[in-house]
Amino acid sequence: MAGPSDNTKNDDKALGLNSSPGDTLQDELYTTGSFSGNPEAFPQYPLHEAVKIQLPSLAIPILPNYQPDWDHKLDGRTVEVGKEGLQLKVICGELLPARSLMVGVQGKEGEFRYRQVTVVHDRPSGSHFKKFSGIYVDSGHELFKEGVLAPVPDPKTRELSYGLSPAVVEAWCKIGVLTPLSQDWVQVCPKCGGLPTYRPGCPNCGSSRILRDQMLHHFACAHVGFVRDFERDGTLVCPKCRTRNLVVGADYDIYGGACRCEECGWTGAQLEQVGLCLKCQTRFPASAAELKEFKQYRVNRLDPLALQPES
Amino acid sequence: MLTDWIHWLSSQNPERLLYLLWGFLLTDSPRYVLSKILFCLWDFGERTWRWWHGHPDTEPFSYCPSVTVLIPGYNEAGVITSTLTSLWGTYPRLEIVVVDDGSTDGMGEVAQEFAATHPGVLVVRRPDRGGKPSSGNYGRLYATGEIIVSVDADSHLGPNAIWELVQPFKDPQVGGTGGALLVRNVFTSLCTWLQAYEYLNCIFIGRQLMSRLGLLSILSGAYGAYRREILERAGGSDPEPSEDMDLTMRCRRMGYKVVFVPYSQCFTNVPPTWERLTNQRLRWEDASVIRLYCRKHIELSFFWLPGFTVMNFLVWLDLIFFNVIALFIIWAWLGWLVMTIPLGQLFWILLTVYFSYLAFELVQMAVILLYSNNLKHDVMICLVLPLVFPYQTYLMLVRTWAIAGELFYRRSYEHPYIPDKVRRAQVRW
Repeated sequence: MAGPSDNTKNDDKALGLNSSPGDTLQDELYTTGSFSGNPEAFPQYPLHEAVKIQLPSLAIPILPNYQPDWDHKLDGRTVEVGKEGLQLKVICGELLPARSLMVGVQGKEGEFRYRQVTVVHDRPSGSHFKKFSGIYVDSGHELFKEGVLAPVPDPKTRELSYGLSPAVVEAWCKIGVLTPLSQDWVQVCPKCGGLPTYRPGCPNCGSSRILRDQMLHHFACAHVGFVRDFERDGTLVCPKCRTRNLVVGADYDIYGGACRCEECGWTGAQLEQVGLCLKCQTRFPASAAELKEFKQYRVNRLDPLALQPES
Repeated sequence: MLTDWIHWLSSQNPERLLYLLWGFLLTDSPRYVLSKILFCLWDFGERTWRWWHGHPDTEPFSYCPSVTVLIPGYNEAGVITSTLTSLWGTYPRLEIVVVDDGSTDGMGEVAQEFAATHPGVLVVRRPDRGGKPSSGNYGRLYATGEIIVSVDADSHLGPNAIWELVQPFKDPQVGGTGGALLVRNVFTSLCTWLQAYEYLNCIFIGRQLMSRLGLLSILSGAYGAYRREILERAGGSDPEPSEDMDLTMRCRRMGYKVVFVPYSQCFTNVPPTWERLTNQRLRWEDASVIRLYCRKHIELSFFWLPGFTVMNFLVWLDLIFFNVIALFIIWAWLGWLVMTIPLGQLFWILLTVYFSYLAFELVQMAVILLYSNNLKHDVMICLVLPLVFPYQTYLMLVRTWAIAGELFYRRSYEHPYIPDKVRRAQVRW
C-alpha cells in the first residue's frame, strides 16, 4: 500500500509545518491536505457517526471556473457519509484531478444527491483505487446552497444574477446536479437589460410632476367641469347655465378628477407606470419593458442527516 | 258568443260603425297602420328603382370617424364586463370610457380589471352618485372621439352596431343618430314578452317611419350617438328623467338632423315585473311630454320666435296630440260610450274594438317581419299579439296617471331615480 508521498512531506517542511503525529489535525487537514501519521489510523474527524453506504456514487471535479469537469469524473465504490464530511473510495489513477469535488450519492428513489466537499486527505486503496476524505464546504463558500437556486438582484451589476455565469448553471443542470424547477419572466430595461424601478407618471412624457384637478358638478344643469372654469370675479359661475354665486352642498359638489402633467400639459384620468432603469437611468413606459426569461433550479443536495440511522 | 257578435256586427251599417268607433279610429292604430303601409310602399318603390338602375342593395361601410363610447353606470358590477366585451374590438377607432357613478358594489374595480388587459378602455370614478346625466357629462371630459356614443352599462351590441351607427354622420347636417333598442330578456315573463313586441313595433319600425318623415323626437340614451361639438355646445345632458329626449330636442333646435339606424342594434334588459314596469313608465311618461314639451320646450310652438321651424313644430304637435290630447279623446269617447250606448251593446263594441285592434296589429306585425333581420326570433315575439290590446290598455292607464300627476303635482321632481342633492336643485320648468 503506498504511503504519503515524500513530496508532500517536503511541502510540509517548506511551509514550516510540523508534520509529525500529534500535531493538531486541523492544521494538517487544511494546510497539507494529507495525513502523515499512521496510514492505518485514518483520520476520524470527518467521519464522526458516519454511515457506510453501498449505493452508486461518483465525484465530479470542479474546475477553477466552477464548471463541472465531467470528463474526469470518478466512479465511487463505497462511501461513508458523516455529519461533517464523507469518505469515498473511487476508481482513480495516481492523483485526484482536483481538491474540490462534487460528490453524488444515489438515493433510494434512484436520484443522485450531491454535496460539495474539499478533500482533506487521500490515500491509495488497492490498485486503481483511491480513498479520500473530504469535509463539506460550509454554506458561505459552496456553489449551491440548500433549497432553490434563483437569480437575485446584484447590487453591482444591477441585473438579476445567480452568482454564477449562466453557462456554469446550465452545465451543472445538464449533468443533473440542478433540476429546472420553473420558468418565469421579469421586466428589464429595453436599452441595457438592467433592473428597473416603477412609479406612476405621465403617459405622455413620463414625468412625475402631476397635479390632480378638482372637478365641480353643478346639480341644476348637470354640468361637470374644472373648478377653474367656474371661477369668475371672486365667485363661482356655471359656464353652462350661467347661474351665479353657487353654494357648496346646495348647488354643487367638488371631487378629485383629471390628472394634469406640469411638464407637457397632458390631462387624463389615469397615470401610467413609468420605469426607471437602475443601471443606465433610462426612463421608459412599463409597456416598453423587455421580458427576460429566467429559470429557477432545485439543488439536488445531499443531506447526511437523512442517511443517519434513527436513534 | 262569437256568432252573436258576428250577427250584431253584420246588423250594423258602416256609417254606424264609424259613429260608434270614432274615438278609437281617430287616435290609435289607424295612424300607425296607414303610415306603415305607406312606409313599406315607399321602400318597395325605392328598392325597385335601385334594382332597375343596377345599384347595390347595401353599401359598404365607407365612413370611419373616431368614436368614444361612454358607459355611465351605478352598481353594474355584474354586467359591465359583458357590455365591454360586446363593444371592445368591434370598431377600429374606438375608445371606451366607463364612468363609475359612486358605485358601492365594486363596479369600478371590475371595469378596471377589464381595462388593464384591453387597451383603449378608460375607467373614471366619482366618489358619490350624481345621476346619469352628470355622469355622461363627466365622462365626456375624457372623450377624444369625434362621435360620442352613449351606451347603458347593462346592454350589449349587435354585430357591426357602431359601424352602422356612424355612417349617417357622413352628412354634415346630421347631428345625432340612434340605434334600435331591443329586448334581451324576451321570454323571462309575459311582461317582458309584451315589452319585446312593443319595442319592435314602436322603436324598430315606429322610429324608422318618424326618421323618414324627419319627425324623430328621441335618440335613446341607452344607445345614441352625437357629434362631439354638438354636446359641447349644448353642455351635454340636463338633469331630466328623460334626458335623452331633451338632448335630442336641443340638437334639433340647433338646426341639425337626427337619424334612426334600424340595423344598429343594442339589446337591453327590460323590467320583468308589472310593478317595475309601472314605475319605469310613470317616470318616462310624466317627465317626457308634460315636463319637456308642455313646459321646457313649449317655445317649439311659438311661431313668432326667430328659431321657429315647421319640422320642430310638427314633432312637438305629434307628441302633444298622440300622447296627451289623444289620451283625453279616448277617455272622452269611452265616457260617451258608457253614457249613450246600452250596456248590452257596449260589450259588442268593445269586442269590435279588440278585433279591429288585432287586425291593425296584424298589419303592423307583417311590417315588423318584413324588415326583421332575425326572423325566427321575431316570429316568436309576435306570437304574443292577442294580448297586445289589454297590454296597451294597461299602459294607457299608466300614462293617464303619469300625465295627471305631472300636470297637477309635478311628480317628476320627486323621482328617486335622481339623487336627492340633484333633485332638490332641479330647475322647475
